[in-house]
Amino acid sequence: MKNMTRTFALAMGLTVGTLAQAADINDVTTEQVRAAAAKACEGGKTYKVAYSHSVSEVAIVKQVRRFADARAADLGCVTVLHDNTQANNLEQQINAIQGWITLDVDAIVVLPIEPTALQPLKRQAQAQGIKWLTYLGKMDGSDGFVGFDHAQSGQIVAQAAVDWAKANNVTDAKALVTTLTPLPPLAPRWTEVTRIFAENGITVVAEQDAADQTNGLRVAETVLQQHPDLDIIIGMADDAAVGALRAIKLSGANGDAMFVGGQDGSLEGLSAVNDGGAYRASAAILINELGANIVDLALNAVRDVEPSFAYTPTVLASKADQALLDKLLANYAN
Amino acid sequence: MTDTGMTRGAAAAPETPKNRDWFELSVAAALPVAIAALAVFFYLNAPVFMTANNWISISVQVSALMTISIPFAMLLMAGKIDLSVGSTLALCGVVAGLSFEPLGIPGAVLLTLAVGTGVGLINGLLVASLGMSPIIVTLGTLTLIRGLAQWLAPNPIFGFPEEFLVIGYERVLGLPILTWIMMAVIALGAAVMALLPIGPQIVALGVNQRAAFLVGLRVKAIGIALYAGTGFFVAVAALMSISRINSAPAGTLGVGVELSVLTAVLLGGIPFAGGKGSVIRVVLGVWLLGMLANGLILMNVPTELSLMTTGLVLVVAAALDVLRSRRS
Repeated sequence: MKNMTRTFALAMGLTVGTLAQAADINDVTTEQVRAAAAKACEGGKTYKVAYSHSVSEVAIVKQVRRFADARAADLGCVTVLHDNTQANNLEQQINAIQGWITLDVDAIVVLPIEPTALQPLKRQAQAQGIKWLTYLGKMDGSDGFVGFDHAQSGQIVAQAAVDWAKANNVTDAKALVTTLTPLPPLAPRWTEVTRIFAENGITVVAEQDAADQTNGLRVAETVLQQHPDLDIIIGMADDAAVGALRAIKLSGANGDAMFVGGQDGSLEGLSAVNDGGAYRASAAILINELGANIVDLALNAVRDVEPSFAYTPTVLASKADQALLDKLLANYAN
Repeated sequence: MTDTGMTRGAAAAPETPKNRDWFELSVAAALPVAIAALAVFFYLNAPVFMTANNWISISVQVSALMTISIPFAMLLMAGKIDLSVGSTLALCGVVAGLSFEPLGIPGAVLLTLAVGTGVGLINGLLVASLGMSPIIVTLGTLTLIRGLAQWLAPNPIFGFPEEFLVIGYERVLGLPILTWIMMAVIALGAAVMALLPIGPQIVALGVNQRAAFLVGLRVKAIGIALYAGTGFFVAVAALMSISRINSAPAGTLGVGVELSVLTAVLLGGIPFAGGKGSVIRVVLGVWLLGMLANGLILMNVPTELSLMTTGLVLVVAAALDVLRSRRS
């Protein structure tokens, strides 16, 4: 089956260009992406870009959508179509994409819940001349990639925790790391954390699935029973870390002697960092750039100009850089 | 032929009242025994499990689930079901979060309770009054209400008044307020089922709705009241939840709660078709789930294994239920 896919991709003439672009993806700058897309509206052509996220109910995704819409409005020739896929419901996603293929949109940007299941749709879309870009997850033979680097995210927040432990002379630190094992593509968010912790003598005493506030609270509350001397909690998402922060407060643990860090740069996470206290860091995606990249990379793919593969940078949001923190928070001001 | 012989042999074995008593007793004791066995197992693997603090922690963790499970169980005993409880929880959380500022805490709480009751009332009218399928109606409201919650709060709502948040952490007479609320709901549920005339009427509805109607029971009114009551207690649970997490994320709050509640209630021995059940056994079912989640985290068991264990417990409970049904 895999060979068939590869053969088909070669027949479509996709592979060579795709791999060449993918090899340089780490060097692509946001400015390059913007500059290439800026000329898309010349000549009066209009475009329809469809974007499917697997958990559209999550607040940060709504913000990313808002920035994609804003970029489309800035350019003036692009309409962004959104779907209603929620809770990683593959059937909903497939139905939405089928609808977009029928609509004959110019490009589809999709966070593939199950890449294998979407391969037939990708082939159908590409055969029809629709560009297929993936968001976060990768698929063979895609025309573009709107990515952010989960490994970088994990590394940023883990390094911040290591630096905190060193600066505060915390020896034999104990950590809780939350995971989301049903979504393996996100694994670097926690595997990089555990790797860096192991290299720096930090013991991970518990690894448990938690991605939202309720589960973050439940897991942290329980682990604090077993390990009241816990020093560090890293959430695979800010929402989980925010729940863990609440557990610290409810349990009466000394937050001043703890490090809580999250990932994504959600409004609640950034606000918690801004408030000071135990929540000291968030590996924050520049969601304004990410939203714009959905539109720009799709346009570049449609117009066959480079780059159509790029990562959106992730940065460390902490009180140490208040200006950046303020800028990230300002992204949420409607 | 041998099979026939064996079957005959088995069939010929007299089922004396004494045998039946033993069987009933052993099935009835299965849940408490399972809880005790699990407690010992977790204690041996994570001694902190058996501390008072940890048990109080479990009571807080299951408090919202319990608050929903008791009225839900009564609904199921009456042969009805409400699959929209998770979404209603989210909507109530969002309504409370949005109304603290304009209405103050008492106003927000009252509005939230009214919204929860209202959602239950709508479900009740559609199911009990118009005779629509409870599964289809509440599946519809599950989606509708989740959408409404997300529409009302596209951005996360967080940072509630401290006077409200005390519900989530303050203790009275050594126990968290949430635990007290949960115990009050249990006591209320047990009292309704055991002491009030409506208790047996609820069960009668589940046994045979037509027969219940013919003997003069107010079938529609009871059905509507049960749905409205469930909605009310879901609103209570929403207030309990958001006071704990200090946040009301419309997209994720209460996701999957309907399954957890259903699992707990079925574990408690209430058949899906209704017609019988006990509030106390439902309490044990919820507690078993809470203990499982807590103990597995304390042991740092990987998620996949946790899921398998929880699933296995449910299958065993279902098997016990089938055994009991066949014998009766």
